[in-house]
Formats: sequence, structure tokens, C-alpha cells
Amino acid sequence: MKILIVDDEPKIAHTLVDILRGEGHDAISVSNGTSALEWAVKIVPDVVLSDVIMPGINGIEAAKEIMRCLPNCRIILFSGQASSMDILEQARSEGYAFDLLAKPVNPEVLLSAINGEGGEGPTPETS
Amino acid sequence: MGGLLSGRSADVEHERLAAVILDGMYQFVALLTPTGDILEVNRAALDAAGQGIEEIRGKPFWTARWWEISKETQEELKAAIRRAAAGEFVRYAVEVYGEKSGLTPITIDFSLQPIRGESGEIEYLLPEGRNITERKQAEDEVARQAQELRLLNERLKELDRPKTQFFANISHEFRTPPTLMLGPLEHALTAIDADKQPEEAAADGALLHMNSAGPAMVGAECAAMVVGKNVYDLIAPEHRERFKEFNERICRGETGTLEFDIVALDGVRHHMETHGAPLRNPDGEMVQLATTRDVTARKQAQEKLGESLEKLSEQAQLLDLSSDAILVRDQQDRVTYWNRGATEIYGFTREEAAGRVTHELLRTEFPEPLERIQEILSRDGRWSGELTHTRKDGGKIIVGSCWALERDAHGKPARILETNSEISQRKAAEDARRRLAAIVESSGDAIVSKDLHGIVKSWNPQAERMFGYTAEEMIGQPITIIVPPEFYSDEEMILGKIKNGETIDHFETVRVAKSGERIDVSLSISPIKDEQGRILGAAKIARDIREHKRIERALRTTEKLAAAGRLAATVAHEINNPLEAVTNLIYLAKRNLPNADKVAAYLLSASQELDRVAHITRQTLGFYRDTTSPIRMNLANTIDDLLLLYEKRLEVRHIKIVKQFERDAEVTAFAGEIRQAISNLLTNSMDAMPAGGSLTIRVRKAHEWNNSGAPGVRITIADTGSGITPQHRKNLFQPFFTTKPDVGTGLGLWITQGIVDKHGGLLHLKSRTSIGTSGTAFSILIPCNGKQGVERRSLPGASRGKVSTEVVAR
Repeated sequence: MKILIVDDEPKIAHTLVDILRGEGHDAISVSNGTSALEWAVKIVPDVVLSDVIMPGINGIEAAKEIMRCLPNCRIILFSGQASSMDILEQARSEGYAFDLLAKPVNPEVLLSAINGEGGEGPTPETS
Repeated sequence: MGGLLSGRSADVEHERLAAVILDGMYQFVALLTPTGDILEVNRAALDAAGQGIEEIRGKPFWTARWWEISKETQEELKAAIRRAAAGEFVRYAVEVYGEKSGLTPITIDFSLQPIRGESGEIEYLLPEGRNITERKQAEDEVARQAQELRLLNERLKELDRPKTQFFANISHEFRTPPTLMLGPLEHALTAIDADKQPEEAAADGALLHMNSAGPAMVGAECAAMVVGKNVYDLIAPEHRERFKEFNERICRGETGTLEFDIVALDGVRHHMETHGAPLRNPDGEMVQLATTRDVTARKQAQEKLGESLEKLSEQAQLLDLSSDAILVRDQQDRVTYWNRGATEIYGFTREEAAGRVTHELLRTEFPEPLERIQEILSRDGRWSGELTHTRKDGGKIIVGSCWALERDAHGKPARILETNSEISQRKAAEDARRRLAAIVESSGDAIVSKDLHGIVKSWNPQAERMFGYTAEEMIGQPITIIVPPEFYSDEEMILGKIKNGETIDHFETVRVAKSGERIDVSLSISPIKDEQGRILGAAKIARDIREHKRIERALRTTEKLAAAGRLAATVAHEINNPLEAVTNLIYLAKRNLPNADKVAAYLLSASQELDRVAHITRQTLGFYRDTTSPIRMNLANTIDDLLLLYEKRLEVRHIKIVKQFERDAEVTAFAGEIRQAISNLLTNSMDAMPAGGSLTIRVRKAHEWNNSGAPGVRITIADTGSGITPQHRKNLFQPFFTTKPDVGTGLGLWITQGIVDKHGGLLHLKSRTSIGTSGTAFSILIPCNGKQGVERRSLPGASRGKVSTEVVAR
């Protein structure tokens, strides 16, 4: 699968690329929302895995835009901050349903989410 | 002075008699040569001019003192003398120096009569002067009185008007008393010589001599017109019989007085009063000397007075409506009038007071010597001041007293009008005292009074409940019984302020109940002053603020929890991100176990991330771990640590940090609290700039600390946000005030203010809302060696809410 990783923490972005590539996925990473939009349109990923709180366009705004352009693209959000939940609630009230994984995310859980196993419903870690 | 006898032979006896008459008269009479040189002047005239006859005899009449009043007066006299010398009877009213030895001008009815010798030649001129000043004054006075009565009548009709206003005026009305009208209105003197044979005189009443006032009285132009005529012809027919009897009595050697009417030659009726006395001349002959004066004006005045008195009785009723005491006393201070108000105030009835000497009756205590008061009264006609009087029941009252001196027509003090209004307002004061007592008794606050030595003087029921001591236990005891030893100095401070007449408001401190329980109280203390303004002690109201304190503490705890929550959220991000990295790195290491180099690199990286977590954790733990006593803290480092926490948020919000630090600025303070205060201001500033901006943080040593010069540190946190509007500014430091209900508790600035206060610091705010240059700058001044040791309660003067805000508007 073609996966776009968005996180402003380079160490997180790079380790996730390593993990996903190790699982045979085609993964690249960018460090902010604006780049995410640019690259999503270019590479048309199957999955976008994005942090929420980032400088510039936040993860949810970027995700909404990507969903509009690429309706088939699956979007998985992950965040280390409680305030992300507020932003997500706001998006849900606007009709966008995103999965939110809480950092730190166990890579096994992440991989199964990417593989669509249990990715349709809310994951237990989203609380 | 034989000429006086109008052409009759002038023997020595006659001259003597004439001299007696002249000098006995109190009108002015003189004798001049036809050219106006002075031959004789009677005593009254000499006294009035303050001159002796030797000084002026032989000199021109117009150079004498009387006429020095003006050049015109002298010229007028010269002309009159010329006319009289030509045989004319001259008469006019003129102002001359005629009183107080020639110092005071009076108005006289002046006449100049030519006196012919037996040859028919004019031998002498006879000038006479009659003082008509008083009559004029009396006439003016009657006119004025009538006017005042008219005004009074008008006032009566306007009784609806505020009574007080009326009574403020009435004392003025009384300054001119009706008795003035009783004063002598005219001093006319007429001398009538009886015939040498008294019987004859009594029988036919032939008039032998008449002075110049006589002809004026009977409407004759000169004495010559009446002398020799039968006096009875002039007397009103109904009075002739009485006059005859009177005349006979005098001729028998009695003296007496008679009032009768005459009908003058011009037909005008005059009311006369005559005093008759027998005189025996050296020849042993009986002569009747009668002085008669025209009392018509007096009679008219009396009639007028009758009317006035009628009106005045209305006025007297009116005076009875006054709640003030209004009394009139005569020159001997005996009460002649006493209104109902006086009866009510003093308890003495009108009958009891009448004729009594007021100062004795009321045992008056004067604010200054009575002699001094009388001096003022006689100088100004008025006196006012405070008097202490004793009521009939023995109670003392203080009255505001106003005295007005009334003078009679001669200008002599006649009586004093006194109005007294009760200052002590006994009844009102008693009511007020009762009400006050009820308030004190039922108050939910402890109300205590103490003297300047701190000795308890009163102790209300709530004080008993609050502190557990009964009034009996406390009264007479030092107040320090309920003051904890560490606050004794407060008590000294309080007494010091009270002695200076200052009040103390909402001074929060601690008192100890009988049970030993410490009670948080808020004290309001005011000096108690006596009537002279001397400070006698202090009235103290103590409110139990334990509940208030509990609520405050709960609020602070709430804010601490909220702050901890906010911190946790901030920290979570800072910890979760490295943990995410570590989790991933360990997963990768596991998946790459055969590749030792790769594993080592992953694990090293993971270890670095864990170090980062550990650092943040240490920071966080330190955040709320507060010291129990103040410590030396470096403010620049403190702010660096805080900024580290907010680094991510600042970056997300595009907020640029500008640091202007004096890195060695240190203060001794409760580090956790200072951190919290700065943190609150930092987060406020960040929240004020949702679209990014610049946050300038300055740490400067400041030396102008509170005007005391003590060193301190000023921390300024300035944002470029939208600024705080003036209406928000005034509520800024109230608990629960927030402009961001989603994220804030509304307690942040209130807490910050509390922390700054506690350190004896000052919080200063500048804000402007003009677009383009908007922003807010908070600055905190913290003294380098702030309050140490035990937490001090807020002292008066360093009370809460001492926030200076400055509006910088364009």
C-alpha cells in the first residue's frame, strides 16, 4: 500500500517509514499539513497517517482536504494531546469520521489499522 | 437776657427766672446781636457743641462748632441772620453738630427771631434749635416697622413654606421691637409763666410768656401772637375744666402732670402733655412754670402700636409653633417673653419663667466670659454660640443660641431676643441611640469598642458568640486577650492609626477565641471622637471570615487542579511524542535483531528520547512541588524552564519569543507560586495571540520599589494581541472572570494577583486596543527580599486589588 506519513517530529516520521517499509508498504513522510496536501495529490496514497497538532495547517484540516480530493484514501490520525479530541469532535460534527490513535501507538496496532482490521470502528486507544 | 421777655421791663428777678427757664430747657437757645455776634448761649446748646461760652462770646454765631458741619450750612445761617436783622422770622430744618460735644450731627428745627427794643429797633436776634433727629428717626422707625409688619403678614399667609425657613427669619424681624414706638417721639418744650398773682392766673389764665416752641405748637408765627391772650381759649373746650383745676393745683404749690388737647390757631388739634411746678421768685411771689410738649405724635404712635401689638399677637402665636425656644429678656436679663418651644425644651412654663433672670433660671454655661459676649452683643447687635442649659428636670442640654440686641429710640440697649435651638436634640438622640443599640445588639458582626490603651469598653452579643468571652469577662480587659501573640504588633499599629484619627477598613487578620480556636476576621476600625473631636478610643467591627476564607481556599485549590490539568495536557504532548518514537525504535530493534549495528542505533536513539522524557518529567514534577518557605530563585532560569514547557504551543501558534533577561536577577520567594503567577501570565498572553505574534519577556532589576528604594525585580510579559477593552479591564482580577470559557477557569489573574500581594509585590497592567499597535503588557514587581517566614495577612494599605492599570489609548 502506498502510505503518506505526516508528523512534525522527524524521529517519529522516520521510524514509522522504516516500520511500514519493513512490512512491505510504500511509505514516505512529510513534516507538515501543507506538504501533506501537496504530496497526497502527487502520489495518491491509499492511506494517510497523520499527526493532529502541527504548525500551520493541522492534521484534521489537511485530512478534510485530502478526503475531498481523494475520496478513496483512508485517513488515520494519531495524536499525543487530549486537545486533539476536541478538534476531532468538531470534525465529526461537520460529518467527517476519522479514526484517532493515541500516541504512543503500538506499531502492531498501527499496522492492523492500516490493514483495515478494525479500522472501520473506533479503536480502543482513541479515548 | 431781658430781651427774652418780649419788650416787658427787664428787672433782675425776671432775668434770673428767664435764665432758669433757658438753662432748664433742653433745646438750644442763644442771644445774638443783630449782626450775628454771640451774646448768650444756654447750657444745652453749649454742652451739645462741647464749647464754653467764654470761647465763643462776641464771635460770629456761624463760626461756632454747631455750624462747622459744612460751608453751605454756615452760608445759609449768615443769610438767615441778615433776614432776621431785617425783621423777618426765619425758620428751617438743618443738620448741625449737636451731640456728643459737637461730634455727632443732629437735625434741628432752627428758628431765628428778631427781638425789638422799646424803641421798635431790632436789638437782639434769638436763635432756637429743637432736636428733631429722634422724631425723624422715630418716624422712620414707625414706617419701617409698618413695612416689617406688612411683610410679616405676607409671611403669615405663606405659612405653608418650610417652617424652619420662616423661623430663621423671625428673629431678624424681632430685632426692631415694637417698644421703639413707645419711645419719646418729640421733645417739645413750652414754658408758660403764670401771672404774678397765682389766683388771677388761675382765674383768667393770661399767658405771660411763651418760648419759641410754644407758638409753633399752637400754630402761631411768634410768641407775640399769643402772649397776653387767655390760655383757655387755646384749650379744647372739653378739657378746659380739667386744665383750670390743674392750674389751681399748681398755684397752691403742688406739682403735677396733665394731658389735654388744644385747638391751635390754625384749627389743628394737638395732644399736649404739661408738667407744672410752682416757683417762688425772690420777692416771694408765686409763679407757675409749666413745660408742655406736644405728644400728638406719641399718641399716634401708641395707637399704631396698638394695631401693631394686635398683629404681633398673631406673630406670637406663630412663635409658639416654633420648636425652638424663643425668649425675650430685658436689660436685667429678666424673661419678658417665653414661647411654647421654650417650655417644651426647658420644662418651665411661661408663668414660671416670666420675670426670672434667664441665666439663673437655666443655669447657663457660657462658651466665653459673659462680659465678652455682652461686648460683642453691644458692638454688633448680635451674638451666637453654643450654650449649655439646665432643664427644669435637671437634665443638661446644649443649645445653639442666637441673641439679638434691641435698642430703644435713644440707641440705648432695651432688650435681648434670644432663640435657642436644641443641638443635643435630646429626643432624636435618644431615638438614634436606641436604634443604634438595637443594631449593635443584633448585629451579625462582633462590635467592640476600646479606649486608646486597648481596654475593652463594650462587647456586643455577637462578640460573645464569636470569641466565646462574655461582656462581663471582657469589659475592662485588654483587647490583646483575643489577639494571637504574633499579631501583637498589629494591635500597636491599629492603636497608632486610631490615635491619628485614621480608620482601618477590611483589615484581615486572625483572632483567638476563648476555646483557643483561631478565627479569621476582617476588621473595620474607626476612631471614637467626643464633641470637641478628641479621640477617645476605637470602635471595632469584626467579621468572621472563616467561611469566606474556606471558599477562597477552595477556589485556589480548584485553580490549582485546573492548572495541573492544563499542565498535564501540555506535558502529555511533550512525553507522548518521545514515547511514540521510543515505541517505534524498540519495534524496529526487535525486527532487526540479527543486525547488531542497526539494533544499537535504534536503542541509542530510544535512549535519547527517554532522556528527553525524563527531563520533561523532572520539570513537571518541580512545577507544583512548592517549598514551605521562600527560597532564593533565579527568575530568568525559571522563565526558561516554563518556556520549555510551552515551546510546542508557541511554535504551533507562530508566537515569537523575545527574551530580554538580566540573568542574575534573583528574588527570595515561594518559587512554586511565582512560577504559577508567571505561567498564568504567559498562557494568557499566548491565548491573546491565536493568529501568532510576538511575546516579549523582560526581566529587569528594579530599584524604585514602592518609593522605598528597596531592590526588586520587574518581570514584564508583553504580547501583541488585541488588547483588553476598558470594560473587561475592571473585572480582570475578579475570580471567575474569563473571556475564554472553553479553556479558562477565570481564576488565573485572581490567583496571580493574590500571589503578587502575598509577596508584597505590585501587578501593573498596560493595554491598548488600537488596531495595529494593540497589545497587553503585564508587569510584576517582586521585592528581592519579600516577606519571609510566616505568611502575613494583607495589611491595610497593601490590600488586595491594588492594581494599577493604565489605559494607553490613541
